[in-house]
Amino acid sequence: MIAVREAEFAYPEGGFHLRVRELAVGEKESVAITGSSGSGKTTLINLLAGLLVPDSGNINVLGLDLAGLAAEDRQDLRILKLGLVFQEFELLEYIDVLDNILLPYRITPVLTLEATARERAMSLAREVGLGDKLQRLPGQLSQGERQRVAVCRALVTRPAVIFGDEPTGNLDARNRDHVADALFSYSEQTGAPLVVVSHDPELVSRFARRVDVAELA
Amino acid sequence: MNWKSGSVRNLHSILILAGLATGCGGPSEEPREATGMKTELNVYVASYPLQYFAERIGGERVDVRFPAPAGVYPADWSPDAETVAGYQSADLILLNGAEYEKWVSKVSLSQSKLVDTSAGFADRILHVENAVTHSHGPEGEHSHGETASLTWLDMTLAVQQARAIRDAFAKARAESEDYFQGRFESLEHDIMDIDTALTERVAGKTDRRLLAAYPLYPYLARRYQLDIDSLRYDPMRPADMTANDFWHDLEHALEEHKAHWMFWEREPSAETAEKLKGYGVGIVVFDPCGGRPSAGDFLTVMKGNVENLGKAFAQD
Amino acid sequence: MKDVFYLAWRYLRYNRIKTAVLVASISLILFLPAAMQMLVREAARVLTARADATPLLVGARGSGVDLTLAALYFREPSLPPMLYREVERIQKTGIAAAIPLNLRYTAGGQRIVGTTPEYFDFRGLRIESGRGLALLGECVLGSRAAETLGAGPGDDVLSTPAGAFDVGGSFPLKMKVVGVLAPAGTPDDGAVFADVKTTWVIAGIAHGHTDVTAPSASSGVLSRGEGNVVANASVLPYTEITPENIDSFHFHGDRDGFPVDAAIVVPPDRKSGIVLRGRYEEDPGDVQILVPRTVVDELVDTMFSVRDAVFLVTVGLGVATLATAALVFALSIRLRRREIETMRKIGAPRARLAAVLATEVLLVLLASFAIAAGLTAIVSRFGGVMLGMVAE
Repeated sequence: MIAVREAEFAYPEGGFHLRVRELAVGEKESVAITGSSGSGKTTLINLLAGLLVPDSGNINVLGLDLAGLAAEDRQDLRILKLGLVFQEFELLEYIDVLDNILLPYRITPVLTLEATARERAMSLAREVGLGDKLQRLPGQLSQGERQRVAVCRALVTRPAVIFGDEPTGNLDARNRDHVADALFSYSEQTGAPLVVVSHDPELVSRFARRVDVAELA
Repeated sequence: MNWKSGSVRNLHSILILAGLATGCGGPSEEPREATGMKTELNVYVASYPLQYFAERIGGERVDVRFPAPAGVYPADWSPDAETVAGYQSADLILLNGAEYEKWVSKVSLSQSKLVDTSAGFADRILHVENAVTHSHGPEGEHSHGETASLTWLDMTLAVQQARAIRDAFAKARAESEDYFQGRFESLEHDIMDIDTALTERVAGKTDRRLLAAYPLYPYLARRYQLDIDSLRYDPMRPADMTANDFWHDLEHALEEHKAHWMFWEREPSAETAEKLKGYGVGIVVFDPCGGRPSAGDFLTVMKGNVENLGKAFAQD
Repeated sequence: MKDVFYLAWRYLRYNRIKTAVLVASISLILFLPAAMQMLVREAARVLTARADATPLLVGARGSGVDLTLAALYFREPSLPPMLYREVERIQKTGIAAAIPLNLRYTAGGQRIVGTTPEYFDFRGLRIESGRGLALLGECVLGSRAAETLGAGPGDDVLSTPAGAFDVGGSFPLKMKVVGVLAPAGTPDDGAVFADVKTTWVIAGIAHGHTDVTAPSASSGVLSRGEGNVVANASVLPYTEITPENIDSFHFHGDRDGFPVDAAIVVPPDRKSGIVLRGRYEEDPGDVQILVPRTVVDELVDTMFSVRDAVFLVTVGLGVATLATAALVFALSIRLRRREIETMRKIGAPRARLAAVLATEVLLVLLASFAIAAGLTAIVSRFGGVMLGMVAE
C-alpha cells in the first residue's frame, strides 16, 4: 500500500538531505520509524503523507504517485484516505469533543457530514473512553484526553492508511496505552497499515517492524 | 463652515431648544385662519343700553347676549367662570368703557374681540370728585378717584356709542353694512329725540340747584347743563353710606345751597320720601337703565325719565 | 456553506467578549453619524416649524435671537420688557392682531406665559381636562408642565419669588390650576399659561385687599390635600386671588405703561404683514419687529455647520475604529496559526479556510450593521422625545 523508491528530499534552505532507497509497507502492517533527533523522521512521514513532495524518486501511496499529484489532490487524498496523528496538530478550542472529532467533515467539500459519520465518531469516542465527554470543550480535557480526541479525529473518516508522528508525545503510560490501543485496534479491524514515527521505546516495542531512517538511505 | 458672530454662543441654546421645541415630532403649527362663516354674528355686551343699541342695529343678523341677571347693577356685577366662557365664545364683546365694567380687568378675554364703545370720546370722559364721604370705618379715607361711567345719559354720547357698535358690526360683516347703517339711523333718530326732549325740559332753568342721592349723573349734568351735587346714598349699598350719614350730609348740602329736587335712580321708600318732603326736597326718579328694565326698553325708560324731569322742572 | 457558518459562529461565540467589543465599536461608529444627522435634521425641522407658525414678533430693541428664543421657546427673556402700548399700537393699525407675552416669571421651574385667550387659538392648543382661563389668578398647564409639577385642575401652583430679599417686589402668587392642555409636541407643553393681567399681579402692578396668607415654600407647587409645607428661614408669604377678594383687585396706573416681553403679531395675509413691517421700519420707536423664520434659519445654519464638523470627526474615528478592528482580526489569525495549519495539514483547502475566516468578519459586520440600523430606527422614531429629555 506504501512503496518508496529512490526518493530524495532536501529543504530549500539546505543543510539537510533525506534519502530513501526503498521502503514498502503492506496491508495490516505496523511500522515504527526510529532515528536520532534531526535524522529526518518527521520529514519522511511528511513525505509519505503528501505534505512534502520529493525532489526525485517515487513515493506511492495507495497506488498513487504522490510526486505526480497536484497539491489539491494530495490534500483530498489526505482527508479522504489518510489518518494523521501528528503531535503538533491542534484541536479547535471553540468546538466540543464531538465536533472536533468530526472536523474533517466540516473543512472540506469532498466529505459530507452524515448520520453514519456521527455514529462512527461517537463509537470511536466511547472506544477511547471519552463517550461521556462529547459536549466538553478541549479546555476542559487533560492532555491525554485531548490526544485521544486527535486520534478519533484521524480515524473517523475510515482512512486507508494511518500515519503518526510522536502520537503519544508527552503522555503518561496509561494514556500512551489508550492511544496505542486505539491505533492498533483500528489497524487490525480495517487492515490499514500503521506507520508511526516515535522515540518512545514502550510504544515502538509494540510495532511489528522497526525501521531506522538512517538505514533507509 | 460659516460661523456667524455671536451665534456660536447660542449653539448650546439651539440644541437645548430643539429639545424643548419638540415633543413627539409635533403636529402642524399652522396659525389659525379666520373661519369666515357668514352666519349670525354672536355678540356679548356688558350693559343693558349696549344690548338695546346692538339689537336695534343688528336686527336679525346679530345675536346679542347680556348675561348679567336682572335686578343686579351691571356695574357691580362680575361674571363667573362659566359666563366668562360665554363671553370668550362671542365674535364681538361690546363694552361701555369709561371703567364701567370693572370686571373686565379681572377676566381673560381676547383683546381683538373687545369693542370699547366710548373710546371715540376718551378725551371727554369725566371723573367723579370725591363725594362728601364720611368714612367712620377702620380703613379711614379711601380715595380712589372714580371715573364716571354712565356715559349714555348724555344722548349725544349714546349716539357715538351706537355708532361704534355699527362700525364694529360692519367690520365683522361687511356684506351687511348697509343693513346696519339703516337700522343705526333709525336708532340715532330715536335717541336724538330724547336728547331734544331733555333739552327742552330744562331750557332756561339750568341755574336750578339739584341734588342726587348717588353720583350717577355727571354726563347728564354736563350735557343738559344741570347743576347736580351728589351724595353717595344707595339703600342697596349700605357700605357706601349709612342712612344716618345720608341725612347728615343732606343737611350740610342744603345749608350750602337750597335744592328742591333730588335725583334717585328708583323710587325711595315712602318713609324716605316723606322725610325728604320734610326738608322741602322732591324726588325725581331718573333711571339710568344700566340694567335690563323690568318693563319696557331703553327708550321707554328714557321717555319716562324725561317725563319725571319735566314734572319736576314744570312745577317750579 | 452550513459548515463554514457553523465554525465561524462557534468561534465568535467562544470569544464572546472580543466579538461583543468589536460589534459594539463598529455599530457605534456606524450609528453615531446617522443618529446625529437625524437628530439635527429633526431639530431643524421642529425649530423651523415653530418659527414658520409665528408670522412676526415685536419686542424691545436688542438681539433678535434673544427675542425669538424667549417668545418662541420660552427661554428666560434677556431683553428688557417693552410697554403694553406697543401691543395696542399694533391693534390700532387694524391690519394685524397682537398677542402679548409676559415671560419673566416661573413656577416650579416651568415658565409662566402671560398672554390672552387668542394665543390658544393661534397655536391650536386644546384643553384636555378642566377648562380654559377665565378669571384673574387662574392658570392652565401644558401637558408636560402638569406632569412635572404634579398638578391638575383644582390644584394650586405658586409663582417663584424673584428673590428672598426682593424688598420692593411682589410676593409670589398662588394660582389656581383650572385646566391642562393636550400634548402639542411644542414648548407650549412645558408652560404655565396665565392671563397677562395675572402676570402683572405677580409683577406687583396690581393689588387688592388680600390676606397675606400662610408662608409657603418656594418650590412652586401647592396642591390640595398635600401635607404641611415646611417653613424655613427662606420662605415668603404669598398673594392669592380668591372669589372673595377678586373684586378688590385693581391695577395702578395706565395699562399702556405695563410691561410685556414680546408680542406675536398675526396679520391676516402676507401683504398686511409687509405693510406693518414697513411702518415699523419708518418709525420703529423703542421696539424691533422681526420675522422669526429668518432668525431661526441663521441658527439652523450654525447647527448644520457644527454637524458637518462633527461628522468629519466621526468619519475619522470610524476609520480609526475599522483599522483597529482589522488589526485585531489580523492578530487573532496569527494567534490561531497552529489551528489553521492543523486544518490545512488534515486536508482543508485554502479556500475553505479563507471562507471560515471571512465569514467571521462578515458576521461581525452584519451584527454591527443590524444593531446600528436598529438604533437608528429607534432614533428616527423617538428622536423628538430624546431631544426633549436631553433639553430637560
